[in-house]
Amino acid sequence: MSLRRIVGALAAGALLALGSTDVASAAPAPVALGSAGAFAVLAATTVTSAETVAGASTVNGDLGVSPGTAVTGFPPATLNGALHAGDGPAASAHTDLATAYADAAGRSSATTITADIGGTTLDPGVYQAAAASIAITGTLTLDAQGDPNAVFILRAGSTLITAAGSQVILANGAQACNVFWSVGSSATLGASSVLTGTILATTSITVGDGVTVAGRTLARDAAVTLGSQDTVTAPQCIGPLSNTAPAIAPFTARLTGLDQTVHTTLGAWSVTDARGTDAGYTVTVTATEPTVNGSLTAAGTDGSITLTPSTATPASGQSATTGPVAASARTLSTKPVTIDDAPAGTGQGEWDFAADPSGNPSLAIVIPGNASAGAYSSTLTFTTAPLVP
Amino acid sequence: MTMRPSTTINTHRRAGALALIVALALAAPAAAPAAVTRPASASSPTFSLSPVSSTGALRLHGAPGQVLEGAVRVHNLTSHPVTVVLQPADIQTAGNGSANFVTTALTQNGGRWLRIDAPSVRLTAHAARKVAFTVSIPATAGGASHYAGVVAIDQADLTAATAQKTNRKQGFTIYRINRLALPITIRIPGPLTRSVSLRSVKLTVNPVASLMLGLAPAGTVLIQGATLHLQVLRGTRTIFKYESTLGQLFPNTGLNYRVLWHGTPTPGSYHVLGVFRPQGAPSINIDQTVKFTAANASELKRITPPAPGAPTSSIPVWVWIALVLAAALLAALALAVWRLKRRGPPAASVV
Repeated sequence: MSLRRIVGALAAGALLALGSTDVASAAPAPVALGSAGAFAVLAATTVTSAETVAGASTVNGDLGVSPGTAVTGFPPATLNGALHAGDGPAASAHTDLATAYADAAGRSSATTITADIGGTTLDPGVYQAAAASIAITGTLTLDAQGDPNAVFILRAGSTLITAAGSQVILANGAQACNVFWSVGSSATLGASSVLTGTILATTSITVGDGVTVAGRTLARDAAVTLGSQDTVTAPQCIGPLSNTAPAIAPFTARLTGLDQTVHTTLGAWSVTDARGTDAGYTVTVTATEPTVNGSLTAAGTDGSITLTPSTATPASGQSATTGPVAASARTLSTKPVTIDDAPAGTGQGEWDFAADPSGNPSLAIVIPGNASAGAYSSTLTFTTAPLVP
Repeated sequence: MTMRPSTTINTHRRAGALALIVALALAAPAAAPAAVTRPASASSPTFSLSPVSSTGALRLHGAPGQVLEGAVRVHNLTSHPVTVVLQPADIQTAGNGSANFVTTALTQNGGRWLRIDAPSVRLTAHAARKVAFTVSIPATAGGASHYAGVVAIDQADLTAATAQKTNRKQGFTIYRINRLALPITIRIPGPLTRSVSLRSVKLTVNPVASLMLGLAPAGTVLIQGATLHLQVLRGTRTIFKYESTLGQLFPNTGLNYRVLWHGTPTPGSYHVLGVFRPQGAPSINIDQTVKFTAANASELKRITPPAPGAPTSSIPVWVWIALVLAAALLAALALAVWRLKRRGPPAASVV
């Protein structure tokens, strides 16, 4: 390495160090629900849907009881999910619920909140009621400040009681899947209220009429009782758009004095669109001008690289239907070309691009006949970006 | 690239040498492909880049002279520290449509207006950080949708590529860098118009024979996509037809759209007919003549590589020659054995 290179590298490192911000600390992690996460309603003794006024309730997600087996009121209440009454999955979920409650109740560094948190706005974090109970009268806003991964854990030593017509609403990207209510005894949700998040109660949960729960009602030791016209929906979390780029193995070629094409394989790579917006994305590729021993002008640098993108397949464990569409063979240059295109309405979920099979390489490199001996290099840059709305 | 002259095989060597070649030839194919290895599965993403926005997109509204604020969130997806480099970008149009995030020599509107608070962020395991940015709209900016972008790269990718570039081992190395990008739309009140013009249609040969359509999106807002239908004729004979779709086209950023030629062109004139239909903008009828000269043909012949599927240089020519010779030798041996057997044992002598 020449002195100039060393000085340059040191200067770049110093600049980077100066420009780099402080190490960010980790925000509260979500409470791991384990197998209980599939349940919208889970109780230890009984689950009851009591239709006191006209209109049945609806549960979107699994419903379980363990170690008890009693489930009443389904129908007329509607269950859009599996029923597990005293079976293995219910027992497993019950065990995981106990673990999850212990996790939420045991989190340290909690901020103290007033007894009635209606009319307030909370930032992400762990909160502990100053009194034994948490009450909500009016509207509680949970503000994620733009972070879809923001977690809210609210702990009550004894009860959670929401007033009739009260609401817990989400702001700035907060997600119901990241809100947890840790309740030391029982939760009671007032009529026509809206509660967001997962209730982890040690004893029972009673839901008034016309309540909407964007979350779960999970009671460790006793019953869950629903009223009329309630809706309980187990939430789904959304994530970011992320990707990997394929590995490209170095290779050698033997000069023949003629133009020739050599091939090499791409490794596996993937794109994951967990945004849940169906907004689409693209993957583009550029290639830098090849260099020989670091020179852009040496004989042999006027070759080309052609990429034949492989077809996307849905990752195992996802049932997405329409994936990104691979482009036909593209000659790469400093101007990017789109190799995979997921128009709006497609490409959601994780999509895998398998490594090239043996004998079917997807990168073709044209080496000119006048190429010089030496170390050739080029850089391919893969860019994944959402479509501009 | 290992540069050695091709080996010429003298086919008139003695039998002992031939046997040696047979042995080498049989061994060579097994050794040749060893130059390329491939990972078994994709690695996991190291970070994500998300807009800090209740709508899931970065759309800012402002007026000339105003400074707008926004933020992105960088999230470490691994259980070890990660440093993510953040760069402002212009958005241009990629070669076949879609956003091209350009981070060097910013010349377009949006990228130059953008200032990111931190050029890089170091994140502990699973940590996330919000990074603010500002967009300073010049007083002279026109009413339109302007576009910029934030590009994020794992510092480890850049470091690896830089370190490897100092490697002087002979051979061909292709590095890869993985980027995530977020577009920012900056809306300044004014009429929204869309248009595209066709600047040129050319037949190019380098690096492969292609029709190159020079397209110039204009107007004040992006075009969400376009379709292209082409027919290439020689006289009245159709040489090939082509249909394709293009991604998003950004105003005031030209693109050269490449249509790979089907087969090999020969000197003469070709008639290119077709229609380009951008969404929300007037269609363009294409009716052009392109010429392919003898000089073009000569250049194409010079640079055209062997067709895909042909033997690649990973197995040298001499190996193929040796294989042929080995096969011939085996055939000769088999023939000799067959003749000996056919002749049978020598007749018994009678005393």
